[in-house]
Amino acid sequence: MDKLTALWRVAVSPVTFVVLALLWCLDLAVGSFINTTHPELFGSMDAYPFALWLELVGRKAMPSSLWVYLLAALTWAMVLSLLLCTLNWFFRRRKRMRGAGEVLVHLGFLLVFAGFVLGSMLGTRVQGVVVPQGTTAPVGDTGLSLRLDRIDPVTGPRGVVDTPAAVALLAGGREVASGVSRVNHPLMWGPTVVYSRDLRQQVVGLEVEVAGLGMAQVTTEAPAPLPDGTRLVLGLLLQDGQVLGGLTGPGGVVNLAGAGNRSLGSAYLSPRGKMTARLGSRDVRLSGAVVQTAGVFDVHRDPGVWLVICGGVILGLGTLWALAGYLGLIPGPVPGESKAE
Amino acid sequence: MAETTLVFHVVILALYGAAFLLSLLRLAKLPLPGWAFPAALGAGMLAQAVLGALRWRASGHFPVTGLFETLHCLAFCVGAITLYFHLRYRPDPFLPGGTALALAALAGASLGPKAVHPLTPSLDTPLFLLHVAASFAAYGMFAVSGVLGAYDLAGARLMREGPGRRLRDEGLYLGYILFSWCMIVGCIWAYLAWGSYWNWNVKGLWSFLLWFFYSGVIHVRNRPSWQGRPASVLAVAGFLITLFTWLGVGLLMKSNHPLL
Repeated sequence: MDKLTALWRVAVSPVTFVVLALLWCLDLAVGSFINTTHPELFGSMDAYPFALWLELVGRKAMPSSLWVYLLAALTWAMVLSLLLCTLNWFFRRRKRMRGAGEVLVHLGFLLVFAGFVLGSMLGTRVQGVVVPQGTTAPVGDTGLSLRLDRIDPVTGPRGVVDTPAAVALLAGGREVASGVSRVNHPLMWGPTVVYSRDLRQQVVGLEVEVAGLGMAQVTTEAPAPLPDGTRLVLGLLLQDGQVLGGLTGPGGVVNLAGAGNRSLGSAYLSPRGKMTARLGSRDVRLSGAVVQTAGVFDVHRDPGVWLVICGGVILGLGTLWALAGYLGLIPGPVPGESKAE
Repeated sequence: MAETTLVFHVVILALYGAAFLLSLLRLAKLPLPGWAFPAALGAGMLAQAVLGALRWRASGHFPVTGLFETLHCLAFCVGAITLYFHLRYRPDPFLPGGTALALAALAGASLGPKAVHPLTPSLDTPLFLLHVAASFAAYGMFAVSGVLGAYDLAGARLMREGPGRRLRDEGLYLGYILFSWCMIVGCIWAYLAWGSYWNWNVKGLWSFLLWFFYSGVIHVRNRPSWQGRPASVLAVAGFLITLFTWLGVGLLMKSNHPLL
């Protein structure tokens, strides 16, 4: 029994917490330098929910990522220490209202941590979703899709500084949220948040000259009918700099289709490769790209964020309570003079 | 604006320098009027407030971006805390330390660019004002606690017999409360701007490190075995971590809180 009591005293002791906190700080300090010197390993940490990063990247990045695992272990140990310390307060110090501020801070932190764990395990982050203006694009495999109605970049002396985008979020084809997403003002739908990150010129089609038939514009969404009854269909389309197999973008596979969609010939046309090709009995020549402004978006879903918000509010109230205690607005002993935790 | 800023900066340096000198003369028990030190320091802070208002009007935002403005902000906060402690506790031996710290921050500000820049859209939010104001008030408290911790380690009588340890602990306590507000607002802002309240960028990591360090300090500052020199060691170490979190990360590392 004495051993159990001693163990309990160690577990709820503030000294235990401070030793863990100092180790946590030391580990994080070392980790921050490893983090900055190995961006190829740690640069993706914000692109995934934490648990997924550990699984996909962290495990393979051992031993460089050891500090992250140690940090997680120390955080759990600190949380356990806080939890026991808080329980101890309820058992022993119920009547000292002045100390309630500390307990609120503890409870707030525990809720924030619970929310973080929930978000790390069940959250999703889809980054770099490119949506050409006026079109809809799927958001990874979340079942959501994003429609970009309009994007109006704001420029400053150093280039684009903000990309306000009128967007709509669709779930199962039904619009569930719409509005303007811009810096500091993302579009929110419950725990799902759409951040407008950037804009770019996106190749959506090719402009092709067909010998004897004139110019035609073919895009991924619209084939180009030709006067002789055939039509041009765009297959694969690569963006500028994109590489697939031996093909380099920008460019696309142009297919000449006859009656009944029978292929009469196809070729990959690109300014960085072949500009001309013979499809069936026709010579075709690439004369340009059909370009459209596209928005680039990050879509994050964090199911733990409500717990984090509640925890933050409680933590904030705890600090206000503590300040009120310091200012003497709450009767009782001055917190700075209390000897016991 | 750069010329006006330079004139104000020199005047402010002179006033803080005068306050430092007066604090030393006060310590030497020279017969000075009681209002001399607070008047000099208060005048310096008033000049800073006027300069801040002018730069706010010129730039359209709370002037705490870049090295010059942030060091001025720290000097103002340290000056305000020193003045508050002086008026409440009269800790004469602390006054040269507190004023010297503010003066050092102002001297450092001399090296920073003084031009006024418009705010980028990412900083154009009320959260910016709340976040920065709370963080610099906290930094000021941590700085004052660190100076008092150094007094203790140097064996100053103020710490053994005077109100020094009480001031140090008040600085830690209030600084922790203020920094907690700074973190709460910063997390809300990070969620709205970057996609998560917790980010693995170096500034975010060091800010949490600082917060957890002071969480530990707050937990033990009243334990009998940690009072006295151990708490002072923690206060000095905390100030060094504060300096690195703010200046080291901002100047030496690639960060989303650049100072230059």
